[in-house]
Amino acid sequence: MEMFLDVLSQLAGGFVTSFLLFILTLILALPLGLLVSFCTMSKFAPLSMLSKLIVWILRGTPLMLQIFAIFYLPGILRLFIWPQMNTGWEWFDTTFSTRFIAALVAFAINYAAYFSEIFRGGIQSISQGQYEACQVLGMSKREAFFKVILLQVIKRIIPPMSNEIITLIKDTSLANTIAVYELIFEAKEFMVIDALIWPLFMAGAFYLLFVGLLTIIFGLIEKKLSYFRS
Amino acid sequence: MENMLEVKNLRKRFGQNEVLKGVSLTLKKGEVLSIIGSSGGGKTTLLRCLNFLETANSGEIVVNGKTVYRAEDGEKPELTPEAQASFGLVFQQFNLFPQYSVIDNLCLAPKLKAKREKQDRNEEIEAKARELLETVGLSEKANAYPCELSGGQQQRVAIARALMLSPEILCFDEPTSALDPELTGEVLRVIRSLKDSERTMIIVTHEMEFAKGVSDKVIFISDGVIEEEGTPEEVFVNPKSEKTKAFLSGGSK
Amino acid sequence: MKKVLVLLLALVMACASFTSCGCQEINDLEKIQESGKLVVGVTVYKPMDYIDEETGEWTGFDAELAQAFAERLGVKCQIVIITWANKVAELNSNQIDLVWNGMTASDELGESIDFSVPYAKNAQVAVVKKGSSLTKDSIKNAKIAVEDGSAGHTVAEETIGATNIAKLTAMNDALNEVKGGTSEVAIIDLTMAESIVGKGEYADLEILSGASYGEEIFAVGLRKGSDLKAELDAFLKEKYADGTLAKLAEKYQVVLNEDALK
Repeated sequence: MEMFLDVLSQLAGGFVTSFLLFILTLILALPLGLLVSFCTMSKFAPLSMLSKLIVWILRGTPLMLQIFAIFYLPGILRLFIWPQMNTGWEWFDTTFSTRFIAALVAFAINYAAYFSEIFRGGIQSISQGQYEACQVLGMSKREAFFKVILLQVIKRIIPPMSNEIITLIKDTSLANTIAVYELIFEAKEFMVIDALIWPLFMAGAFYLLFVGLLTIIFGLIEKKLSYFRS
Repeated sequence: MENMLEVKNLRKRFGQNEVLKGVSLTLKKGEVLSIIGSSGGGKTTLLRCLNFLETANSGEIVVNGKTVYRAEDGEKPELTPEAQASFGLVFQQFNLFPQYSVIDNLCLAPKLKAKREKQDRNEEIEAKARELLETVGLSEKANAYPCELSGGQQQRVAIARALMLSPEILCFDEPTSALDPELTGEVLRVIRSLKDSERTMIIVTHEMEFAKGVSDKVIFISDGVIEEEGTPEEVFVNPKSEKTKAFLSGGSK
Repeated sequence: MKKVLVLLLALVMACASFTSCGCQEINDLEKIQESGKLVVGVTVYKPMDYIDEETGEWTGFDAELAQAFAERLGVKCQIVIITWANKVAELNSNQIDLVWNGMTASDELGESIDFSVPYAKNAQVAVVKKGSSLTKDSIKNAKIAVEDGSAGHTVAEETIGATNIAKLTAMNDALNEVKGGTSEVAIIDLTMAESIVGKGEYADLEILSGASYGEEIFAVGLRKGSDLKAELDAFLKEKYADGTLAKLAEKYQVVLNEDALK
């Protein structure tokens, strides 16, 4: 029993890290994804080409590799290019090279790429008539988007978005590639130190419960938006 | 009486295809103009150019003696809010905002405008919205959502919404084409009642009987030019052009 | 397009630097003294590096030595858990300064990083289920579980010449395979096997007698060309000479590599 509580508290600590990674990724990736979707749909060809290229790279390579690259590559390049200048990087190292921040950056840009495609699909599925109605009523493009279009987009993208977001909470376990002490990392430590296998399954229960909660939340949002059809 | 609207030599190209080949017309206050013609003839494009949903390549639009739009070939003049506010448009597909109730569909744009001008006119705007809903006979639907209304009711809401900003000229783009036949009557009745209250209107329509009854002026557009214009009697009863005759005899709708 | 090429080239060169000759000296000493901390990368690995359950502090043969070395440099010792497979990347990207974790100094690894004086010895052993009929000669054809990239992995592939190898992410996973019956043999470190096989969760496992493979030597890993190496070697030899190493070896049951330390 004592062991069980010990494991539970250790895993809860790991889950806090996983959850923080999850929620901060969402906070960063949702607006960033919207921005990228605008860039992708831009009429200015270089901008849309560049953002399409970036989205291709981010969706086309494993997230694990991106986490690895963001955490290790700056240091490797630096040591390779300026082996004599090994000092004077403390500010950079303490600010950006922490494992958690590196993982967060990787998750945020990777998920922004996926979200941008969902946003793009949602925005392009709204009929031209909605924009035209806004224009003849004298609304600015900004007002049209935020007051009229966005909520309709949100309603349409809830199902694919909930899929991605549920994937995200489980993907946070990839952060243990660079030894971020998240849920799976903590569970594996019990395997290494105490030769216990069951904490790993208990970690699975954490994910399961959280995904259950997310499913309920998305169900509520869908219900809340069911008053209109678009 | 002064002309309320003057359109001078309006031209519009899509790529190589010239859809409007120099259209000019005038309209006096309180007059109703019907535009008829076969599909692809340019009548909807003309209406969209007047509402700035398309940018005319050249030509001039004058409202109440003031030029609101003038373009030489190749240039793209900036669109002013005043120019946009001169015209209102009712769409074939209604285009109500699905997430807003009927009353909010009416109030959204005026409230945003008041906010832009840093004025608090919410009560005034809502009172006007209720008054207009009364006019189109939908007072009891103020808090309903568009998906709960029939097509005819939606189109009546759309008309009320277009009137909220008090445009000088209200345009209709085939307002009954998307409706079941039994629902067209209620919409046409509303349009007729607007004529009685001296609204200046331009109506693109396929409803010939309605156009005949409600219009002061009828224009027949074919291949991007005005083929024939005049009073309903002149155009419907004694058409001069062969194309008009062919069109009216029902050969090409 | 040109920029993309330049970037790709930089990437390729960076990858090459994993295995580069390290002709240039890297001024790690100055860096460590400036930042005031020595960052040591470890995995939880008894008896070398582990957390004392009572104090919650790092302890173990390597951990104690690392702390003593940091003290000698006059800086704080920061021990961080890393993913073992990433140890070279951790070093070469400056995320850690040393790998001090009972690391086997293999020739392959020596191409990418530098080693200190090899201070201890170890062997790889085969772990089987108690009462298993397997022998040293017959495990060649058995299902073998190893930690991917570990010394045991090399032994299974090259020394034993086995073909049916399951590569896991940790030595414990290899033991779990044997315990669960999905593999018949696990090749792991002797030091680790002695500390956990036959006890607790692994009570029904045993070390296969006679199946011990090529002695290996433990060393501390450094960046290629690091100027810390001279300091570290001097430290280890000094601690051997004053008897500290012998005491630690007895406390943690580690076999010292006395030839190199003399």
